[in-house]
Amino acid sequence: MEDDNPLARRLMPAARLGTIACGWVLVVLSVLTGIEILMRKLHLGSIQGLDEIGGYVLTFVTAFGCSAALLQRGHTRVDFAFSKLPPGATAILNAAAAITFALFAAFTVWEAGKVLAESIELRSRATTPLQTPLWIPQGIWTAGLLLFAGIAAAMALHAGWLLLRDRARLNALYGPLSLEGQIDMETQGTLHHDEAGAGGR
Amino acid sequence: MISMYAIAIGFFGMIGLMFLGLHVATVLFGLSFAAVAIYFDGRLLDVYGSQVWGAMEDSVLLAIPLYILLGEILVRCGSTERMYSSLAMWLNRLPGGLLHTNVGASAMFSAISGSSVSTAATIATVALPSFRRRRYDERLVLGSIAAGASLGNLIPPGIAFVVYASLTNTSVGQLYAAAMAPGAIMTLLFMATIVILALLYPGVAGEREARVPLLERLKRLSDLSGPIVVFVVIMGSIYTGWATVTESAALSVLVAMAIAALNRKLTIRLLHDSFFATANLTAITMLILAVAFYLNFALGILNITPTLSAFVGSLGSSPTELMWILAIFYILLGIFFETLPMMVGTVPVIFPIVVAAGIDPIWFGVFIVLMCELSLLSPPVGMTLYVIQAVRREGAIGQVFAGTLPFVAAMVAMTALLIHFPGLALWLPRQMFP
Repeated sequence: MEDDNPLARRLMPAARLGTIACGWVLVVLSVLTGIEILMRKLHLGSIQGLDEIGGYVLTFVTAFGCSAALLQRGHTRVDFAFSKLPPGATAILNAAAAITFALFAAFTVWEAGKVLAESIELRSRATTPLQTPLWIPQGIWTAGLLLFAGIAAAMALHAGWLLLRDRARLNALYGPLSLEGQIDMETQGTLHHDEAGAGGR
Repeated sequence: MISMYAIAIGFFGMIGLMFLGLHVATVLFGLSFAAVAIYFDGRLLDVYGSQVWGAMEDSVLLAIPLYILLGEILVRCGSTERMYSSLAMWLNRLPGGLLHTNVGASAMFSAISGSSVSTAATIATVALPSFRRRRYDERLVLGSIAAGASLGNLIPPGIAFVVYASLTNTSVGQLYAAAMAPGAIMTLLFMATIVILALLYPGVAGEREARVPLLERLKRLSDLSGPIVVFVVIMGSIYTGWATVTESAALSVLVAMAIAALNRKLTIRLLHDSFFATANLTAITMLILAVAFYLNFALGILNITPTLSAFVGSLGSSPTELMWILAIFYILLGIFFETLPMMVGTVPVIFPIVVAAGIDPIWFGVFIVLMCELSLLSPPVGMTLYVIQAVRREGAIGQVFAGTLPFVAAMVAMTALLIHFPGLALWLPRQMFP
């Protein structure tokens, strides 16, 4: 990362762990899909419910990926106009973005929690051959979103505090990624694949 | 019925809030929240959670992380330098020489990587040093890289089509088929632009390259195997009916891992870095998309379609005129917006208008992706242009702008072709999906 945000540095290992677990699930799912296609071609029947599991996996990848993207300032903002304002105004807008994003994340996890609570209360199962008890995938999904909302809240508090104390640092840590930062983030492994890993050069 | 006035306030309010630098997801959510709170006393706020959960059940969306993962693996295991030089052997005898390789290599790289930023940065890093020695017109060198990088989403597997399909309930398979001819024509138009410029102004192309023997060229084709094999596996398995779009994406992840293994690059470290990047990019896309589904839902129950159709009817324009109006609208919007926000921010409102006007939804998908590509390429805000400038680290950004203009013109020509000859997009899907 370009500017060292102590908060992001401390929280990143947890976020990265979540994404790696999700990645392995994607690989296993791909292998099972390959087997399924082969079995179908050879008329050997089919593995039930891969579609359904795939849907759950997508919710997991999204929920856990949200934390990692947040720590890397990846979530999309249109920085064309407001970054040209004077630094004082930019600082206020950067803090506003961090705080509104945290509120949005909090509402999302709150609503996810309600979906989960209802599934537990009604003992809901998916209306599919697998009849998956829905609290299992929804529990993992909510856990991922909880991590996301927690990180968003911590970053919003940090941004709010910096707004009062150190606006230059606020803009450096919570402004949109600079061009160089974005290039570094998106080309990790493509330009420097031999000597560098995630997290930059 | 909601008034046109209210729709316009909502739409321009959305754009205004995005300009203030709030996150795109926050703005879309805030807009849906406000609509539901104002028109339904907040009674429908509670369906947000189940809407977001339900949105993910569309199994085609799983293709998004799978496509991203396959790109991450391929990009990390292949050597861009070798891909570039292998492609150069085939293309550099054309008038314009290595400039064609810029277009070709950027298009191939962006088709698999899915990121125009990553494409522009990588290809510029690989290509620029070889041009320094060869005395090409610098502006065209930069412009051709930007042009190629903007092609990525038109060439399968493009994530933009998956996003469009899920927002509009259209078929990804049909969209890919529809994009095939326009993608090919666009590439040819870019190459024709280079040929014409090279013939008119012989100075723009540098030293001519030596011919490479055919056998050597064929041998080096293996450096292009990654993108080619993946393209064939995806399109082949979809159109023979062996696999659905999502299944073909899963299959291509396995193929990408096999290619990485053959290159002796398949390590846990490579996989974990790919997983991390995949989850990142998936989350960025899906978060916005999930909120867009809620916005779609809110607009649906607000029943905006009759209002919009009445408004479009009152304009009294033909479908062709309407498409030109939309093209200009998207070109203006594209000056400021990236692909994803542009698409999810406008499709919920524009799509009902377009369908009401009798325009084919599949055709419109190709059109809107072309508009997104144009937004990446058009100065003064196209992201790829600044990326190329940042990699170059010298000269003025104006040179990059000047270099892209001939290619922007080619893309506008493509837009005109698509609008006036809709069959370019619709013929193939009609043959394949009667």
